[in-house]
Amino acid sequence: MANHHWNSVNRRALMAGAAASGSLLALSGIDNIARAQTATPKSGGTIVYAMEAEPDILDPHACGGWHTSRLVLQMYDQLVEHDLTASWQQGAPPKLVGSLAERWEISPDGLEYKFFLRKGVKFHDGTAFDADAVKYNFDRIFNEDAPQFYARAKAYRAADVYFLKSVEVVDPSMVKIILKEPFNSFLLRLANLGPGMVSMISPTALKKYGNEGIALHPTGTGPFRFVERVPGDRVVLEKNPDYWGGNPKMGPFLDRIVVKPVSDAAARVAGLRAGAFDMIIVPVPDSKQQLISEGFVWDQGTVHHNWYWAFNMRDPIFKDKRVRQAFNYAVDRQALCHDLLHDTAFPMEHGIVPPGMLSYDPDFKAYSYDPAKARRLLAEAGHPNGLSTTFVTSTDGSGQLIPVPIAERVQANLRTVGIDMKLQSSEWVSYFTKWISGGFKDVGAAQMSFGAPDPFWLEQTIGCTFFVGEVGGLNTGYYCNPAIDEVMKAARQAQPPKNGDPYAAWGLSKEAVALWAKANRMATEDAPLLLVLSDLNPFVYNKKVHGKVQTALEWFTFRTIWLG
Amino acid sequence: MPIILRDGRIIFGGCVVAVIGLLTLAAPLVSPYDPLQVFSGLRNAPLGTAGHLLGTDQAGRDILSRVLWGGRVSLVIGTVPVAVSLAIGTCLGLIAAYYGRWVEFLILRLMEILFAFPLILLAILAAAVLGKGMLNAMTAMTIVVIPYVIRAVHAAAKSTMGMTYVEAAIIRGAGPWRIMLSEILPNIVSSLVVFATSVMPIFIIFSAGLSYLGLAIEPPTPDWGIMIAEGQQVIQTAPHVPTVPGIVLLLVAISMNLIGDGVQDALNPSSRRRPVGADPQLSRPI
Amino acid sequence: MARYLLRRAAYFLFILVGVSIVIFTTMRLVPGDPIVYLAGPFATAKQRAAIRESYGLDKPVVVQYGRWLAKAAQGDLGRSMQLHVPVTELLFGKLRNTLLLVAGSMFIAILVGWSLGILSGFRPNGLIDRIGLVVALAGISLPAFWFGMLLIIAFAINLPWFPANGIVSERGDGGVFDVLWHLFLPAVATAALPCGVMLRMTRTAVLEIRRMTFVRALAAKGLPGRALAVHVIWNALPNILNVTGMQAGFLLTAAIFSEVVFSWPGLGLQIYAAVTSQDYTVAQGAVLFICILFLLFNVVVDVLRPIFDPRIRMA
Repeated sequence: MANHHWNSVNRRALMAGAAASGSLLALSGIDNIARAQTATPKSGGTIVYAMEAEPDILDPHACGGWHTSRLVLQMYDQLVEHDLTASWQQGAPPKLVGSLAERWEISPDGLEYKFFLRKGVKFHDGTAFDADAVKYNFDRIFNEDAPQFYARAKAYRAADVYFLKSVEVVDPSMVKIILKEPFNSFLLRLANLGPGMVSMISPTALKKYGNEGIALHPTGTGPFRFVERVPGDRVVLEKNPDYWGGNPKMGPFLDRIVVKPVSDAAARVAGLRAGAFDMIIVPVPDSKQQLISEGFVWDQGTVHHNWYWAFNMRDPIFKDKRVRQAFNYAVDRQALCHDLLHDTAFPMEHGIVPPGMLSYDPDFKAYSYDPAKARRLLAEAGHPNGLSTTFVTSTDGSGQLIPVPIAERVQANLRTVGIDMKLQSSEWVSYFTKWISGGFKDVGAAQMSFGAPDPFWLEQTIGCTFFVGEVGGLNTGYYCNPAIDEVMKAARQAQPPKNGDPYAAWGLSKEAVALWAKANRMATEDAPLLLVLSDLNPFVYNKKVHGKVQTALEWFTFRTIWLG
Repeated sequence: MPIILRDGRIIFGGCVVAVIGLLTLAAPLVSPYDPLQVFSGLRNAPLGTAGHLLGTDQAGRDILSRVLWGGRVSLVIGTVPVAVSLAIGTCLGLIAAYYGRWVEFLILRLMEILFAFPLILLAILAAAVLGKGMLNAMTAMTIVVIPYVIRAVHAAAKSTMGMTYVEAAIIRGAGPWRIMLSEILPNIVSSLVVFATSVMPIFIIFSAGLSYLGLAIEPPTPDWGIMIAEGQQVIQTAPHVPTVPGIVLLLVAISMNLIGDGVQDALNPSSRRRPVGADPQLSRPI
Repeated sequence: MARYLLRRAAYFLFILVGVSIVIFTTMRLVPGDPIVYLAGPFATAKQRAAIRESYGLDKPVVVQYGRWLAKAAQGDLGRSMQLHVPVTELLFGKLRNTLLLVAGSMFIAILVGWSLGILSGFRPNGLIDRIGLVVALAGISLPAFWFGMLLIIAFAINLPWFPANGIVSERGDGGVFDVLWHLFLPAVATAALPCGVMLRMTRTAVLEIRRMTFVRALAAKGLPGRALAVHVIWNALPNILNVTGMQAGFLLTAAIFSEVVFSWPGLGLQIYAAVTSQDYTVAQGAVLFICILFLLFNVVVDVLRPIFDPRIRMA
């Protein structure tokens, strides 16, 4: 159900954001949503969707890339989910709704979560969904003694491992999850999509195909079923007529979805124009004018995405806060987003937390373009004649947009304030591998793009007292600020929301969000990252496609889409 | 070698290569702009834009400057490996031919295993292990060419060794290096020159291909292959961006092929009009 | 004959083992650890170790090689580390696509190369010869990836006669004509180089044969032109076939450039992706595949030669 309650904080956020970039709303899908509500959806048809890369494994617990998750989530459900039928203008991120769990209760001390499961739900292979299935799935991810344990799945949910104590089956329709310490982002993390989702896979299918084979025979409870996969060519899904959430107003409507991996953006655009594809993701920004003038719908909105450089805090140059701030003042983000990316990205000038997150504050003015100030700060820090450093980025990759041209722009900006930034790049997989293992020890900064709807992401990115991975998880720059860590810890340990709390729909309380916002301000001021932009995640599709909701997430559902 | 100077192909080809080579060499003086300089708001500018004779690329950089500077990279990567592998391969080939027995066996068998790898596959593997960068790319390409040089040198040397004057030198008591360098080598030089000139254009294109695949050069360093690859993104809206560097590459390749043909005819009068690929010993078509 | 074949077979195996050793070690020399990528950004060292063990990569290299070789001999090349799809299944589809591209390109190259070459050989310095030499020069000087781009600009964008990429239309029936329609431009792009080489080679072969005494003798005896031509061509065949076979083998991987430009889902692209993303199993399997094919091509050429060239047969 589309929720029309405008959360005041977020409405301000979006309006301010729109004003700042100038053309967000003008190019958003506002008329698209209007269409979805007035026209009557038609059933049937096949949609062809071209995405940016070959999906990796179609296993929700262990899928690696965001692009794969977009595909996998169509076939699987979780206990609680973000409402993917709510557009980004209705609040960021979308509220949590019960999916396989009808409702939930959180104990006052925040340690016990009770989930009341939906009855009468069946997996695609006919197996009944119940509390045992839930436990079976949790065991696969977390319980090393279980026969179905899958090491790769646990590696993706390392943060939960830290907090999760046990999962209990109370009765066939109720599951109790107990935590070791209060962690109010838990619900959001249960609902998170992306690499390693806690979706429910059919235990029968898991037993039949095994931990590796299940990726070739995905069996969930979702609105679409798996048909086939031809590696390098396509993945085909079909409508699940027995979907528990199906109804004539909200879908699923499509008979078939054909997903094609097309790694060249220009080829995606060409295919769209030629009618081969109905919908594409990540178009070439330069093609925007042409596509809009040809009658295609260009749909974009704020999402939880941050494209940034993490300063290497072990490099003596960056130990001085003024240098880090100087870098941030030296980048002309507005020009970059407008000129190079045709406003398909949002300049990050309001803090580290991007607009897709609850702790985003549009009134918080952070680093605008001020080269004079940058030079002054550099001089104060002892570099009156500029300095020299090396930055790294990848040449492509999930969520990276066009990393090298963006980096080259930044390089040119830095040069005007006397910073000689040498740029190195490598192909995505080797880059990401090196980045994860903290391999960039000798560079000035390493670039990455990341984000999540829950504010805990901030702690994973810059926290050091909470170490998720051995090398610091996302904190590859080895940034450590105990004062900020204290605030973040208090934020995640805050009491669960009381009734009427404006943030209850996300499992968070007002104080928690306020603390996260405070941490955001402290962190932004200390500048552990060089902020650049936030992707607006454009999709382009032809006039036949209706009902696509541009959410405030990196994810969307095919359920509401129909062809007419 | 008066024939070389009279062959129209060599003259034409030589002139074109010389002109392009000199221009790229003089890039610091001749290039209108810095190849990395971004002209905000002027991306994908068409040919003949004011101040940008060949337009600008998808990031807003002057194409003419990038072609000139990129030429230095592309030409070096295409030619230096051939020269280096000639040097190394000739030594190894001579050693294999002269010493024979297990030395020869070892070298030849190793080369045969390398031969089983198609050229491009070998280049991809070498590039993956060594990583990007000009030096690594050149090393990878050198590794790839050496087997062909060794085989050609070995075969030519072996046939020369059967000659009486070599036997005479051995009987005279001349040392191995002396024999290899003053008796055998001079007789295979012309074959080597033919080989080098015919293989050079192949490798210019091949190295551009490797850069195109993203295996050779680190952006933002310009190089013709990378310019074509990056320009492919805007092929619909600004086709001149990937086309221009390709035209220059084509010119260089044609000129080098012409030179190669001319040299081959000049040095092998018996095989006049005999193109590359004719003699399987000299240059097995890749 | 039997001993010859046996020796060839043994040699074949020796090369394959050598190749497999090279690819095995090379993959492990590539900097970086694929397990790190597979485990994701939040994994601890302990979790990575568990994943490494599940892939058998914690054992010493020699043991890994032994296991892999044993399975490979039975036709099991394992599963892709990144996709979990069995490697053989993954590769066969791509192989078929690459073979299709190679067949299409060779068809065009032979059609143009042989015919122009033979005609030029019979009338050197004539009009056809001059045209042929230009075509050949262009063919060997054109970078395939750039030529493919030109073809896309000309015949897929400006004149929308052909599709710009892919192997079948997304909504099409995937039938033969659909595939051929998609095949045309990539095949032309890939055919340029072999066409050029074969044109020149054919021309030379014909010229050489024509210069031989027996041809002049036959002409003097009054053999009509057409029958003479057949004799000449038949005698030139060994060299022509030699070059053709080698070009076809070369195209197996050289097609990668066209595969990239036209997004043609072939083997070259697959190998490139597997090597750069360190998917060990796919890279090892794919390289083995390609080398087997490459060697097979060479063996076929070697075996066919005596059939066409009696001089070798007698030796």
